[in-house]
Amino acid sequence: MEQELNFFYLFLSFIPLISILTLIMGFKWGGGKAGAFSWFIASIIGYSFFGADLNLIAVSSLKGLWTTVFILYIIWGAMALYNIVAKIDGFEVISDTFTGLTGKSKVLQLLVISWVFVSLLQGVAGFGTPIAVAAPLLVGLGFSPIVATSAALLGRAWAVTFGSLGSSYAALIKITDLDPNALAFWSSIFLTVVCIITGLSISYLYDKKEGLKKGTPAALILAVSMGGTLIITANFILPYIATLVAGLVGMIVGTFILPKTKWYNTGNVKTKSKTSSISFHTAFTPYYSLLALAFIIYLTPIKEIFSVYKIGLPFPRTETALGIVNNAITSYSPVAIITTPGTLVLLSVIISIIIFIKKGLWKKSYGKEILKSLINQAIPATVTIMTMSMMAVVMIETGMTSFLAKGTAEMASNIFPIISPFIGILGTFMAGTNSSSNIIFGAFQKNVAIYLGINSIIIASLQTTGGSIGTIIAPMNVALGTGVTKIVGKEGEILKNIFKYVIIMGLSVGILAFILIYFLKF
Amino acid sequence: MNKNRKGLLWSVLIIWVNFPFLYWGVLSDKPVVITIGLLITAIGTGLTLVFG
Repeated sequence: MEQELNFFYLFLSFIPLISILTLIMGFKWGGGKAGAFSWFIASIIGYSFFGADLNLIAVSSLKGLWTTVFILYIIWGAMALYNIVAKIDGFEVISDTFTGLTGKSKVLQLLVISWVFVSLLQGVAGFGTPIAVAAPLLVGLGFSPIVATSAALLGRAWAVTFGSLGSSYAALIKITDLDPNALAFWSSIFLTVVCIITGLSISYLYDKKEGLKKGTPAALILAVSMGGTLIITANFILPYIATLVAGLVGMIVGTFILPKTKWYNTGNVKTKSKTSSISFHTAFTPYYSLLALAFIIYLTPIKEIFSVYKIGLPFPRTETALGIVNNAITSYSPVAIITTPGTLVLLSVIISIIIFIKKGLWKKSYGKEILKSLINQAIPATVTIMTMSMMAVVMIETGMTSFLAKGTAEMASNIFPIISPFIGILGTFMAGTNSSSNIIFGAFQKNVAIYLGINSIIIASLQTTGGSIGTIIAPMNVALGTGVTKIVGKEGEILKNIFKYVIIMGLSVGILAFILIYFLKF
Repeated sequence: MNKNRKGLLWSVLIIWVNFPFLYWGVLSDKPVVITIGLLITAIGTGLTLVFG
C-alpha cells in the first residue's frame, strides 16, 4: 500500500512539469501562460493531496516572487543597455568593425561571427538578440540561410549561463541555495568543455571534414582563449560578466591575432563601410562603463564595505499535513542592493546616457522610445520567470520536488550524472530560457544528488550547463532564427542539422561529471 | 503596445502591487487577508493565462 501511495504521490508531483511540457510543446503556449497554469495546478495538487494550507501556498508563492527580484533587476537592466546601444545604431558599427577585421577566410568569418560575436552579444543582452543580430549578418556575407541560422543557434551553447549579465547563474544560486563560488567553478569548467565542442561543431557544420580541417586551429585557439577567460573571470573576478569578458577576449583573438596566422592570413576585407557618425569605442561605451564598474566594485574593498546593505524578507514557518517542514527564516534570498549586478547595470545605463547626451547622440524622444520597447521586450520574459518561479517554490515547499527527486534517484541511480545535463536541456527546450530551466529543475537536481549522496554542486552545474546547451534547440530561438533569415518553415531542417551536436555536448559533460564523481571522487 | 502586452503588463502590476498585502497577511497570520491576497494573485496570474 505504501509503495502504491508513493507511486501515486510521485505521479502527482510530475503533473505540474508534465503540464508545462504539454502546454508549451503540444499546445504551443508561451512560457508565461504555461507557467501560470502550472502554478495553479501545483497549488491545487499541493493543497488537495500534499496537505498544504493556504498559508503555505501564499508563503511559497511570495518566496517564488521575491526570488525573481534579483533576476529581473539584471534582465531589465541588460535589455535597457542593449536598447541604448541599438538606438544609436551601435550594433551596426560593432558588427561592421569585427566583420571587416576577420579577413577573407570564410570558416574564420563564420566562427568569429556565429560563435565569438554571438557569445559577446549573449554576454551583454541574450534573450534572442545574438541570433537576431548574427544570423542575418552571416546571410549578408554570403552564407546559406540554413548554415547561418544553425551556426548562430549553436554559437551560444556555452555562453548562456554567465551571459545576459549572469541572470541564469543568479537563478541557479537563488533556487538551489548552494555555494555561489563552487557553482561558478564547476559551471565554468563544464561550459568550457561545451565551448570547445561548439567551435568544432560550427567548423564541421560549415563544410563537413574539410570545414573541420580548416576550422580546427581557430576553433581550438578561440576555445582556449574564451574558455580560459571564462574560468578566470568566473572564479577570480565576477561570474556575472564572465561571458562578456570571454567574448571580448575572443573578439580580440579572432579579429586581431588569428587573421595574421599562417592558417588564415589571406588579407583583410573592407567593410561595407556604411558611413556612420559614431566610432566603435563610442558604440561600446555602455559595456566599457559596465566592465569598469565591475572591476572597480568587485576587485576593491568597495564590495566588502557595501555588501552589508542587504534586503531579505523574513518568512514564517510552514508545515504540510504530510509533515514537510519549511523553517522560519529571518532573511530569505537577500539582495546586496548596492553591489548586486543589477545596480552595476543601472549605473552603466545612467553613465551611458550622460555620455551620449554630451556627445550629442541622444535625442529627447529616446528615453520614451526605449522604455516602450523595453516593456515590449521584457514583459514576456518577466511573466515567464515570475510564474515559473512561483510554481517551482510551491513544488519545493509542498514536498513535490523531494518526491520527484527521490523517485528519480531510485530509478536513475549511478547514471544520474549522465542524465542530469539532459534534464537541463529539456527545461530550456520547454521554457525557452536557461534561467527558467534552472528555476524549474535546479532544486530538483540538487535534491536528487543529495538522495544519491553525490556532489550536489556538480549536479547543479550540470543543470545550468544543460540549460545553456538547450537554448540551441529551444523552439522560440529556432523560430526566431528562421524568421530573421527568411526561411520560415525550415525549422525541422535546422533542428535536424543541430540536434546531434546537442547530444554530443550533453553526453560529453555528463560523462565528464560521471568520471569526476565516481572515479575521481569529487 | 498591443493588447496582449498590455494584458501581461497588468498581470505583472497586479501581482507586485498585491505582494505587500499578501505578505502582511502571512506575517500577521490573518487567514482572511491571505485568502483575499491569494485570490488577487490568482487574478493577476489568470490575466497571463488570458493574454500570454
